[in-house]
Amino acid sequence: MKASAETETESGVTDNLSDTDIVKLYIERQESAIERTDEKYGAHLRSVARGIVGDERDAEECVNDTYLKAWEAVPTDQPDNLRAYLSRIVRNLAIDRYRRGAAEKRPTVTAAFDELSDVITDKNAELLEDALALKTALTHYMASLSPRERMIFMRRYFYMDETKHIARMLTTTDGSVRVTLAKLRRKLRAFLEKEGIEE
Amino acid sequence: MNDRKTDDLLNAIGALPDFLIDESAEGSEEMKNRNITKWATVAAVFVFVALTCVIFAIHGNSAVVTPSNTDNAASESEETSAPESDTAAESTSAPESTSEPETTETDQPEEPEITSMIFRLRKSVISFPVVPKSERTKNMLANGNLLDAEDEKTHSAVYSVHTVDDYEFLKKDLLSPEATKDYVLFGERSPRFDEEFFSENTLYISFVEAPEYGGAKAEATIRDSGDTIEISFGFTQFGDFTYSTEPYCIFLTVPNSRADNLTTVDCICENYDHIATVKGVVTEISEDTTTLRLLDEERNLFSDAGTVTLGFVDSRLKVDNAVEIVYDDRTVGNSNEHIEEAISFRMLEMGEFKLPETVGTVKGTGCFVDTKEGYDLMRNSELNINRNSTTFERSVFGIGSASEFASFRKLLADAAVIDPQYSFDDEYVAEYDETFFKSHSLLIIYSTKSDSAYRLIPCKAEYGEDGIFTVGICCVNPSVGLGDEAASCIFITVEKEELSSCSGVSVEYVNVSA
Repeated sequence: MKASAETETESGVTDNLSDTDIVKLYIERQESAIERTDEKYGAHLRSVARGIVGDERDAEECVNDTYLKAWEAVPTDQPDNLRAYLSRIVRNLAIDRYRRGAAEKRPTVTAAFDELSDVITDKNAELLEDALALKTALTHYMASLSPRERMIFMRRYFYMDETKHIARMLTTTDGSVRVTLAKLRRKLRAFLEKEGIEE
Repeated sequence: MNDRKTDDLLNAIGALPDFLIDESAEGSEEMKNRNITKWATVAAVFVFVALTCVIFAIHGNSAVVTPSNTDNAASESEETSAPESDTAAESTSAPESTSEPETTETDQPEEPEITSMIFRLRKSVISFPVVPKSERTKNMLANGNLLDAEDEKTHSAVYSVHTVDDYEFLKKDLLSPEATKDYVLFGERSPRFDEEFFSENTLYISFVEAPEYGGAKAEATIRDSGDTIEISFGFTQFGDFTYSTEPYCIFLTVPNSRADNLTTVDCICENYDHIATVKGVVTEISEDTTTLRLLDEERNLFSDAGTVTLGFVDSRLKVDNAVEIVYDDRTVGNSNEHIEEAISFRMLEMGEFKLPETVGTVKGTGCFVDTKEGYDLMRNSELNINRNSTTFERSVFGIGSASEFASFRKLLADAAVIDPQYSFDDEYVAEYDETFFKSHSLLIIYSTKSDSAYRLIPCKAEYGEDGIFTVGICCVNPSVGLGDEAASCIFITVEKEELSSCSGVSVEYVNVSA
């Protein structure tokens, strides 16, 4: 279990309750679990959702749905890394909402989808249908990247960040990020094709 | 169908391991810290250098000015002075200056020479053999895709183009939309095979993935030592330090007679940190038939600069012809418009330049012209230059109206300042921007400088209390043009209001060469 080693204060007001403790609250079915989660990760989750759906209200709904999902899932799932776990949920919910057309169309997100669709070729089509194999291949692919490349890839295709934003984050130029992304996509395409053939 | 597959891929990305998600959520902090660390290192180096200089300075001073230390007294023992512990001073390490003078006697330091604040860090040297012609063509064609990023070698290889087939292949392959995402060759201009040229010259194309860059491509130099041509290109750091790898495409044309005995082309990536400078979009350097171009269609690498410069260096002076277009990303926003914007002089702005330490300055005053009359005067007299003359008036001119601008443009095209070989493309035609010129003046500085370099960068622009507007021009890497004289043309725009109180203009050269 990953715990961030922060503990609850005597007053019970938590600035930084550990992940373990929060998960425990979920397991014990204490409603404060959601409150604590929101205190700790609300801002992050909102920012992830907002990055995809754009609208503040939509983002808020995504976050609320995330808490609900977590509430339903946690007795069974016991996440080691709560932030990643919640990030994944909120991201998927936001993408889902975006895909369903329930959120305002945002060129940057659509562009990210289009970019990813470029990776798909006839040669790797089969692999893409095999979720497990695809996940394994992707993990291997990520392992082959440098930390900076991983960061750029994840920020763009997990968090759907704008390239400009990524550039700012890495104190580099927008163009540089775009060039790196193009390179990463080509590499991914080739990687998946190779994996597909090996399959 | 494809949407569905994209969803599969998106889901797979969503299912990536926790640590990747976590890492990228935190990554910004980490990256920032990395930058901070790097800056801290740079700062530490600065502090170290500064301290060293201070120590040297103290050293020198104490040796010359204050021989009152106990050491001297003790060792020479001619005088009655200082009976206090000379040896004790050693062992108990009294904080007063005890041991300094003895070294200064022998190692008399010269004046602390902070000749420049430029750091030249050689990051890597990539050497690659030139493939023999027949094989080369075969390889190019056999490889299919020159731009296969999977193959690291494609980034550090030299391809040579000698025939129409080679060229067509290059053009088709490298200029395909897919390819130009990463590599940009000739800007938006479509290259055409020039039979005459290629009958005498070979074009080498080199892909280099630079191991590090600081946000901007700076300059390139060519050193030709018979069987090897060495291309160095530096990256100029303006904003934050960033580690990255960037592919660059370098073109080098050499006469066939040279190409035949050419065995190696070396590309050296250097990082010129701390040259407070601006960014280069297009750099073209010619020396006789040797041309090096660094072009980047997407204008990716330009973000933090603060000014725009067009520099034309006169080829008659045997130095290189250089055409540089430098622009400020902040003012433009859309990178695709950069060149056009730059040429339209709209966003020529002075930036915040750190002034490097000066090494031998050359000062010269110029005249400031901001009226039609003044302009005509400039046009009729000053620029009526005899190309054979080696002396060029150093002058500053101002443009503030459409007609002045039009005249200037015409003049620019006609003038001897520009090498006739260089032709302005249609895309590169400057447009007069009325709104801009309502509030700004464009200063044009023509100047000559002996021992100059092909790369001149305005590094300082300021108004003195005496009402003199000074433009500092850095000559980076002056060794290239050592002994020669070069003429250059520098454009700077200034707000009219600021200029109204300006009584003169001076141009100052700052040598930042290491």
